[in-house]
Amino acid sequence: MFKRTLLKAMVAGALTLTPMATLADGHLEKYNLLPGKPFEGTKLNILSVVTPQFDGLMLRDEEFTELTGIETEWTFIPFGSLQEKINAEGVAANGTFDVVNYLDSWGPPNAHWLKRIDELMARDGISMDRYPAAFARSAQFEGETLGFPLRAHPQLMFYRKDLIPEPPTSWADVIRIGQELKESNPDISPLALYYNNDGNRQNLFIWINFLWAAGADIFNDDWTAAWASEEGIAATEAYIALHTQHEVTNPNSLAFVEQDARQSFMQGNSAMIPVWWWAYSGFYNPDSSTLTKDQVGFVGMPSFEGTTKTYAISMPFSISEYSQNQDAAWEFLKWLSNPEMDKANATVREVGGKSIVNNVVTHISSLQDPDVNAANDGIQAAAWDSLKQSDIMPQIPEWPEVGDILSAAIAEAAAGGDVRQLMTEAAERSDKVLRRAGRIE
Amino acid sequence: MRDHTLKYLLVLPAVVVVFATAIWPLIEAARLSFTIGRLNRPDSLNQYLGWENYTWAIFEEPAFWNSVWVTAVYTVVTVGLTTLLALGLAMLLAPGGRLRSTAQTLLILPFAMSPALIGVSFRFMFNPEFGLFDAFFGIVFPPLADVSWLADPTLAFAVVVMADVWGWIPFLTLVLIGGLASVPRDTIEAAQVDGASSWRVFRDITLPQLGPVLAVVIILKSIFSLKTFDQVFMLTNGGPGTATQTLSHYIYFNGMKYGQIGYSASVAWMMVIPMIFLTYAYAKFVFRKA
Repeated sequence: MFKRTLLKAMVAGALTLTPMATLADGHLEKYNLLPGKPFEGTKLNILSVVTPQFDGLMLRDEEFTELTGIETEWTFIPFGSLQEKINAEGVAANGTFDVVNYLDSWGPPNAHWLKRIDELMARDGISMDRYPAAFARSAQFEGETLGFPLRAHPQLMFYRKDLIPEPPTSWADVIRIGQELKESNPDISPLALYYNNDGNRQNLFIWINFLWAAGADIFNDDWTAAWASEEGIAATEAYIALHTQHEVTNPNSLAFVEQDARQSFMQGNSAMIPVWWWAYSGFYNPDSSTLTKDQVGFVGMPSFEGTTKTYAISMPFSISEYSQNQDAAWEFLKWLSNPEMDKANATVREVGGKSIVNNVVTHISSLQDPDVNAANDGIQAAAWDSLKQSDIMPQIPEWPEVGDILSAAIAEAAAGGDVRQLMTEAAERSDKVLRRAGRIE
Repeated sequence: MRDHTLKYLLVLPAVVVVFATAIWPLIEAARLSFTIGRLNRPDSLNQYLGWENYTWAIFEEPAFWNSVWVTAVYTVVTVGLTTLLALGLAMLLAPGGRLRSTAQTLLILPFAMSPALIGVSFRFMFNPEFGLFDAFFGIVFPPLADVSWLADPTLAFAVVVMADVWGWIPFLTLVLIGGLASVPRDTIEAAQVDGASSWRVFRDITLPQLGPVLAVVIILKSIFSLKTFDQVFMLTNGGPGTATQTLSHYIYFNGMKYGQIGYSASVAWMMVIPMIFLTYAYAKFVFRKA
């Protein structure tokens, strides 16, 4: 009897000590991974957008393989082709990729094949509260979580510190500074905006801030278009007037997409640009920009009529429902989205012998972290401030079509069209589209 | 094995490939065009709704008619311009000379470029701040210095046309040079001896003799213009607004960006109608020529 009890105690002790030994260096515990390498030998295929931020993650995945025995194979696709690739994966339904990375607004149209991870998060003690609310919402659909927002962006106003001593805090400031700048520095355009519609709805990114700040919205509760309300029209007119009336924008802003506007700022042709925070490092990179770090400043987005509400965007990572390796993919997502990883990816400038240029973090802890801020000129603190009042585009499957209708209307309005007429017609078309889709009763 | 059987066996692989890559997709597209066919609802790919996709396009969707109009104007303008310019170049190069072979070699280069690459190149060259063409036009004609070509609906359309014409002129020129070579020299010389002017010779001898080749060239170019996609996608992406959105671009966006594969298939099938007509005319001319 005693022998049997002793044997049981020894076995129990061994079982207890084995995982502890595995956790000795703290890694498994830190990343919340399953001990014992239950998925050893599994190979995960990951579909991701091309970005230096994910280079940093990919270069660290040897650590993940060491910890779990799971191998990873990354496939990087340029952003311009990613939506088609994601849609094609959904149609093919063959699980070629276990983990996929997509723009938040493509989540709802593909939600039928993206795994809900709420139960897994609850099981492993992970909460979406670790992200700013807008980032968290961008990875959710109809109250369920589709993935983690690993690449996510708030907007900031970048400006030339050598030309603008006091950065703008409101759009009225932008107009005033712009007009002063036109007098003092006629060779440089005050503001690089992007009114062109180029298929990715970039000309809605700043417009929507005006719309929200004016108290208007994109949709009413019944999904009818709300942007053609009096507040919405006034906000749109104010946004267009930056170009047509106040003339503080770069004259080429009508033709600019976001990339062109960034280029204009980097080449010293424009003095201000409202854009995603990830652009910061490129603005003073000598390989791509004529500006030095001393010349580039940033502040939160300007307010409109006393209110600041800004648009945020993310590119979540999700598990494919068609994957044969969903449990292993969950281990990978836990490792990839870990707060320590988030922080390291914005502070360690070289991984595996390759230099990493990245200021993008998504965890609230990283946004507030003094080390992260010290390594990135405090841009995370400004971003966190901006994110407190941020929102995302509507998360419905029909948004790409409705967004394009809006985007075309904005482009035509900026080119001199009648704002009220264009926005009203766009609203009518949106209602028809959503009625046909069954979203409007 | 009898020759009769062998000939069908030899043709069979080609028939199978054509069926798998062209006929079957057409049949499947026709089926999808009668379904709800939304990619975000997999069941809808088998939910039939009759002719609604077709009636939606024709009676409810202004963007469809916009793309039909853009495609029609684009086809007429590009076919007309390309044919005229190619004919002019062919007339210049046809007599031969030391530079002809060099010119012909250089001519083929633009046609060797992929339409997507042409689109990207033109986009860069018309960049309003750093573009080569933008700067060039500004120097040649200073009032054009501050023009944002790709921001204005008419100018953006003109740039798309320009890129297409630039890419297609070489091929059509080479075809027409071949056509001109088959015009009997005796007839032309006889007319010249009788005192006919160059214009008279061109109008009454060269052009009629060139007729079948010109017909083939026009039909072929019309087919390619009608289905233009790559250059539009890379150069303007249908904008500004929807000023350069051709039917192919409209079909692509509805199918691949909006996930409305059923509706997209119905518009694609409507586009097949003029294509069948043109393909029939093309085959008829080629056959007659042969």
